[in-house]
Amino acid sequence: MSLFGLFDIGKTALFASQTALTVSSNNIANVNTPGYSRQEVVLSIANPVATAVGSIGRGVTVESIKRNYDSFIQSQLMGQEQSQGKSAAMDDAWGQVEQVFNEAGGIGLSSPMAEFFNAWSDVADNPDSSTPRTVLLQKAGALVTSARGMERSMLSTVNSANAGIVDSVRQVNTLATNIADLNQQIMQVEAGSNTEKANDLRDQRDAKLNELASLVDFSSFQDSNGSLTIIVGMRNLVAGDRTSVLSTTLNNEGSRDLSLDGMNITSNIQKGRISGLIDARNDIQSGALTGLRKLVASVTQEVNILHASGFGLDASTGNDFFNPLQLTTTNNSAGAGITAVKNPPDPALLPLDEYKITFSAGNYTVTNKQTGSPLIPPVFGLYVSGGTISLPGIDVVITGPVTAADSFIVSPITSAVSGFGVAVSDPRSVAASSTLGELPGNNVNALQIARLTAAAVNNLGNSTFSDYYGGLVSTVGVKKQAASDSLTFDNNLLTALKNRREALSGVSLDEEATNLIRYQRSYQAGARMITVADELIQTVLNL
Amino acid sequence: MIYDQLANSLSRNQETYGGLNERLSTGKKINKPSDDVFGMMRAMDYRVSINSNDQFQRNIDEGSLRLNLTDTTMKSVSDTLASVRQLIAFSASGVSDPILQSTYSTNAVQLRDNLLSFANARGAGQYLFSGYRMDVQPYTDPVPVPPPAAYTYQGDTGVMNVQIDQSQVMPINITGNEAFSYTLGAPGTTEVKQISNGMMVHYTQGAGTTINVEIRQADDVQRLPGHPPDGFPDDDTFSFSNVLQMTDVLSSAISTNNISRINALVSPFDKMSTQAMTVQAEIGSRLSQLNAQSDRLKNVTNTLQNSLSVVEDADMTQTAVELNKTDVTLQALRASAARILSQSLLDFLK
Repeated sequence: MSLFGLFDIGKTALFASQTALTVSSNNIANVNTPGYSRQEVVLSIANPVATAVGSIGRGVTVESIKRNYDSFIQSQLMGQEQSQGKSAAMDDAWGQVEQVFNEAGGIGLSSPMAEFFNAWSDVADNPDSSTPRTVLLQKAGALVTSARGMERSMLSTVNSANAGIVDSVRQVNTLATNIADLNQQIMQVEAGSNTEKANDLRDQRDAKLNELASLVDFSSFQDSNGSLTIIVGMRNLVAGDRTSVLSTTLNNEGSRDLSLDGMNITSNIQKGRISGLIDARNDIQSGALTGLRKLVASVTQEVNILHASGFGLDASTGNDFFNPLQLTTTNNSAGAGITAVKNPPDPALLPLDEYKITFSAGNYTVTNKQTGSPLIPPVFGLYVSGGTISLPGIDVVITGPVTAADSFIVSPITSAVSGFGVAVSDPRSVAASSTLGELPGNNVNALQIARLTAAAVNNLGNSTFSDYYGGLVSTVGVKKQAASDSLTFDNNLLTALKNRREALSGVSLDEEATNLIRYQRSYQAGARMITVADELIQTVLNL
Repeated sequence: MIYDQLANSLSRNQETYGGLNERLSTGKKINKPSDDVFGMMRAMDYRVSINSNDQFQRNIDEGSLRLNLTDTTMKSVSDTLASVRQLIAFSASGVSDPILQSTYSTNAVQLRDNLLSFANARGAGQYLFSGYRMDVQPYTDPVPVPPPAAYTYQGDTGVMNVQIDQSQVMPINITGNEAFSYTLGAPGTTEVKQISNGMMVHYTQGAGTTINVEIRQADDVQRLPGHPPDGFPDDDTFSFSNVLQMTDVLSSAISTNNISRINALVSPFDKMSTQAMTVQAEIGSRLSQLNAQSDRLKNVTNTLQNSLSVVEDADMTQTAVELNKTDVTLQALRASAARILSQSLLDFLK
């Protein structure tokens, strides 16, 4: 081994130290970069030379730059991001709805409803006086305003959930494109190599995956060329450098559905923000919103039935107190039309149920939309265009060709709140009397309406108005409680996982400072070695 | 990692701090349904009950007002009836002094007019005694234009109820028929009384509250009840359907010194006094029921309010202590954060 070999050893020492310094600097520079994994140099002995006395080392080489990374933690983290994304979305949505029913803050329907019925009691106390009647109309107006405000707030929550879905889908598509780009770059960088060299690109891709995970649940696998395939709802979102576009469509209910690659994957999405928004939206629509509508519909119905049977001071009778319930039909058919009328017109004989009419093999079947079960007794038969389908209290006529994909929905309660209003405008028309000849002192009808508060209402499952409303409030409260509990749980778990990831992959400035000094010293020593070798050669040259 | 953990701890503590602060500022431990769903439900229940109790209380107040007005009026009616009976006693055996007679006669007219004003008494703009037809003057004036006859009842028999409990109503009016008329029983029922001058008086129940009176000679007593007036000159008939018409008859009888008629009215006025007393007793018992119910409602409301407070109100001392504790924790956290964050190896290197 020649004296010049010393230069080579010194040189490897310099290069290794320099690389290590670069890596440390990069770590320090990225100390606050999210998703960055700490890197370190892996040094190894350069191939030694065998001599008669044994092998002599030839210095050091940088074998690789390693990324401190645990794929297990990463996959756990992604799973938790998905759960947390869902919990956060649900907590947010239910938090909004909770405020609509916040009886503790004096918001909600409980007190306007009580005051409305109290006003009837006041009318009964002084049936001949116009003051309590005027107050009654005001209280009725306040009840209407509250109910409509509540519906509006819930609808706006539903709408913002739909908007949130659209927004999230846009983010998902952007992320998918980013990931596909990164896939391509990683494939190029790692081409022909068996090791994962594209450390920074992989960090970037993991960060994007975490972002994606908070939006939607997916499964993924890595190909041998380093590219990642992402599957959302059993369809490929990203495969190599190609992406499919996730899109939203409006469904029959006017809500947003997801479709990917031509398939409706809404029901396959179980986690992530999008799933949270979908679940919260559906729950609000079928629970709190429908409940409120049903309550308002039965208040309308019960009060109207009694009111129409009474007499006002102006001898008027047969009048509705609130605007009568209107039937709403939803037509999910391209070729057929539907009309529905109340039959018999007597409001007492109209149950507050929603019906869904579906078709198969030329026959129609009617199910209860809320429960999804067939009516009792069942309503079905051969579909005849223009024929009358008799539902409880409703006659439906469908005309035109239908297909198995078609469905119709008939509901007496959909517009119960939006059409809620006081029909009586003249205080004298308030029907407090039960008999025409006993005006103005007869207060029997007003008493009866006031006592509706304590009445078991058939359409509300034999509970009173306030009990039914209490049930609604508690359902909302429980939902919100569950949502915030699971959000707290998911947040804690996510924090724990992030801590674990940080412990492994995070940059410690103290450690990097130590490394800086260590490699600075080894660089200095290497340089010193070269000086020594130079002096030795000088010595030889001066012989 | 240290930074993240510190940030987490700080925000967690701050959240607790905020929650406690809200509790302290509203004074309630339930500020939204999800704080305590069960508690919220109970609070709502209590509030609904308190609210309806308040309404029952208002109804009771309305009812009491009306019944009290009626009671006062009925007391005056009783007093007046006592004066009428005194007047009858004075004039029953005939008054020969024309001045005294005219005084008595004027007196009777006055008493009649008093009774009319009591019977047509109003409270809060409503006639007290006209049943459901509270906007109609219950008894017509002495010279009504256009007819019906004087002192005819224009009200009806409507009984106005107010709700004083979830399942209980209370009538709050007395109709004119109850207060100022009496009946002998089913139409056709007859009562016969011999008066001090030996005449026989037949009282026969007619339609509604009308009572037909026939004064006969004693030897006529064997005639079948309900027999039409036989045209004997000694037969005298008249009828009345309420105390006003009775007093009207009385005043004209006094002015003409018609002893038979005056004596024939003794029994009806006795009956009327009893009736007035019964009505007063009835009103008294209703008022005491209303009072009892009102007291009960107040008690129940009190209890409910206590329960509501237990369910809903925050324990201020506890909240304040907890707030303090959180405050101390936060301070400690900040202090230690300041110490930890300032520690870096880089500070110690040249």
